[in-house]
Amino acid sequence: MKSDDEAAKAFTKQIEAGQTQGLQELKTDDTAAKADGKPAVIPAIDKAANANYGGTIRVGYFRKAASMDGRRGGSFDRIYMHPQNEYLTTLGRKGGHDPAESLAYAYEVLDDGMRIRFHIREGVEFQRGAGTMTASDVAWSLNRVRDPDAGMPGTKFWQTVKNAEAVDDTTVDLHMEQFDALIIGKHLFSYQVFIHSEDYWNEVGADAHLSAPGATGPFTSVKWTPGDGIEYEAHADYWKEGRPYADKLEVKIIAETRTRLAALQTGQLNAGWLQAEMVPAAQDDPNLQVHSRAGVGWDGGAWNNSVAPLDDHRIRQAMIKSIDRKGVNKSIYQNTMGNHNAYMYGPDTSPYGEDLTDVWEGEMKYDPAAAKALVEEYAAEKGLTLPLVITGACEKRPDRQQYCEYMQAVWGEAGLKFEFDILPGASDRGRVMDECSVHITQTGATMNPTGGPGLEGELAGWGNVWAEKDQCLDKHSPDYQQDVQDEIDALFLEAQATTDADIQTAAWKKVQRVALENAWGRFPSMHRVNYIGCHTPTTGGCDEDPFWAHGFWHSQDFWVK
Amino acid sequence: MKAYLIRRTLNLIPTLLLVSLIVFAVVRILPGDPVYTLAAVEDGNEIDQVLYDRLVKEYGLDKPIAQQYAEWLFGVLKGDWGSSLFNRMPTFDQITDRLGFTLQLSILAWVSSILIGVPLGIVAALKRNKVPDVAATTFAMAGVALPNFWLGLLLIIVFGVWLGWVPVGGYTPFNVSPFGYIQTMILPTLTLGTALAATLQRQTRSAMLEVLNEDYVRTARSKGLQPRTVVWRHALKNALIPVVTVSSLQLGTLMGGTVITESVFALPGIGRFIVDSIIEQDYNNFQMGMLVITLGVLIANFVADLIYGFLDPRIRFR
Repeated sequence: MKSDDEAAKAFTKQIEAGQTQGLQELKTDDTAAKADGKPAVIPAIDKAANANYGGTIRVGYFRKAASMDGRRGGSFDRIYMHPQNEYLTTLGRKGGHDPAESLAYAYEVLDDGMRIRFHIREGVEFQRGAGTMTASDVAWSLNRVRDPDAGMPGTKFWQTVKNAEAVDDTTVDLHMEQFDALIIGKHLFSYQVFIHSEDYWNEVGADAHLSAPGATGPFTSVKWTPGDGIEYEAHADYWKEGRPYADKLEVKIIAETRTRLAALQTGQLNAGWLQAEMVPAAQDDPNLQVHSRAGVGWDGGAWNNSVAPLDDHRIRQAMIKSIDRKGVNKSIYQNTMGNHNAYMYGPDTSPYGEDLTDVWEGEMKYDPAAAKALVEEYAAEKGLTLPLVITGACEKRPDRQQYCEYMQAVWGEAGLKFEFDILPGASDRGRVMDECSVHITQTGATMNPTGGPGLEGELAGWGNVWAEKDQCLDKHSPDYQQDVQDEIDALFLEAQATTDADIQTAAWKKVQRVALENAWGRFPSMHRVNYIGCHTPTTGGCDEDPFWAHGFWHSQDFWVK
Repeated sequence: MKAYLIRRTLNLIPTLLLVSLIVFAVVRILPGDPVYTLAAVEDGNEIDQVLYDRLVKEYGLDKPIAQQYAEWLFGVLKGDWGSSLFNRMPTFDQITDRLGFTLQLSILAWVSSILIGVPLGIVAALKRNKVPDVAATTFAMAGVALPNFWLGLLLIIVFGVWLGWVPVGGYTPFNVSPFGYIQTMILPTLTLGTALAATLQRQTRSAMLEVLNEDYVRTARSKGLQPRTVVWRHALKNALIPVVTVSSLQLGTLMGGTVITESVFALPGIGRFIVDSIIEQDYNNFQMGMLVITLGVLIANFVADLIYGFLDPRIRFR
């Protein structure tokens, strides 16, 4: 393993060479050539040639917003957040940092990676008359992540950061507590680091800021009726020339899927989020254009392999071999999910995706008879009577409940009695895991397109956190396969200690292989696919794939025909 | 009468207190922890423990449950309805924004159910065992049997998608566009009111049949009065007493029924507000939403009792 210092030097070298782990557009081409570190050319954004201006874009969505400024809610709330909030470094349409879409058009790595210098745009106006964005606002926004008074979740992502400092009006330095190869990736995807006006925050207070932030985005929320919808108006002083196209944006919450589809089919909505059950009908409608983005997350489950009988590889293998992933996708998810031959990232959707067809077709191949034999072998060896009880917690959502019912049936055939409770919400998953009370927790998560942080979060988090929790220790099995976790941990350390894209990618791929071969972290998952439907008679901007790399669309890209 | 009004009003207090205790307890007994959601990192798989501890303290959730209840109740009595755990918006504002809509929807559904159910019931009684009676009875059976959400979706598909006559969801306030208001309210009104209309049809039919066989109606007929006069002046007036009672009592039920209708049609009412609040376990919003709905039902029942008393001289308010 390299030392922090060596790794930082390697990182700097790579930045200068314009190559890092998946963040291909780290800076404009001539950054390094400028003596003062500022690029001569600030990239411009693309603008649609056939776009119309004016009108109201109406978008249908399935769940209510938790906040307007990014301090509440989950990854799905990006639909509400992105119209009015922006990141310092933005994940573009093609993946990686897109300087043209970012408030920081460039950055440099200084002091062997212990200081990241951001060059921010000039003339960016905040909404609500909150003035012009300065480096001071940016530094304050970044420091706010670690301010306990700000009520900002996610400080753990930021623990490698010491503080942010405004150097001059357009330059911000991020001082690192320790070297962090993934710090830019964290900027790209964490909505806790939206840039807001410090003065506006101080003027209105934290609570009011939740519903009416002083941000920089293309739209300004003017009316938020929780549970019903949000009305936005175009930000007149928005910094991107020619954006947004529409004068107004309305995001309507229509939880009932059939109603949302009907609203889309009749043009009452211009665009809408499609859930699995809506996709086939939408695809059949000649007035609707359906786009999808694969591999943005996964639905599956995590298992606590520190307790018997999940401490035994054969049981976990049997549970995987009992599940017909293609059948689950077809019957429960209506073919709207991907069942890649990978463990986490699909090789067709991510550079970190490892093709694990050999494992899926080998020892993890769907084979109910073999699964049953494995369970019987285990039970005979331990002197246990079948069925063995496996406890679980499943999420109260039709597709996920069906998945659990399916597993109950197929594992039952294999000699495992799956007893599960239904959890009312996603947040309870964490609570149940904290209590260390079940073998399996059904879950799903976003896959961070920048690779490392997401993978680390999922695999390091789910695979071994249970085993290490204090409340789990008294239930800890002596047969827990510590060697497997040690191997995975070592691979993570290898990836985190270097910025060499090849080494990192190889390590992350290896992690996934080791995890699947040992059935380590979770039971088979479906790779989530996001769908959007556009009503083409009334909406422009859907001709090409409107999805950005994070798996969501930005309403500023649409216009009313 | 005055004493009766005062006594009935005072009777509301223990009922409301009991309801407040139940909703306060129920929302906390349910599995789940709203603060977990607030302190969740990314998709809720982990929490920020520092923030979690901070929020628990800030919201007073670390206090004994009895103390939490007492503080909430005294707050309500003082006019402090608190705010949402999630968006921090004042609960009072959120509820009053929605209450007007739910009242409109309930009243429209109530009126439409009377306008549909009572005439159908009269026709069915007068044409007993003939085609109109069978048709009206079929309507009544279907109306009672069809679940609200299914009927709502059916109406959306037929009138919204296929025929394109009305929007499939959403709400246009009357002051913005009277025509838009009618367009957006007609399907939810029918959805909510159909079951009650069916009930009223059955109630009216049976009351009319009973009254039409009474001696005084026979007397009226034998006096040579016009059939229309017999029906309108002598039969209907008495037959309507139980109908009015039933329909008045159902007004409260209609308010409860808005939960489904508002969700199907994506309407900004208090029913949907309560559903969202319970899903999120937004304690304060749920508690206050339930309390307001309960109060609405109690008031509706109170008014029904008063109407019943006025219609039937045999009833005396004591």
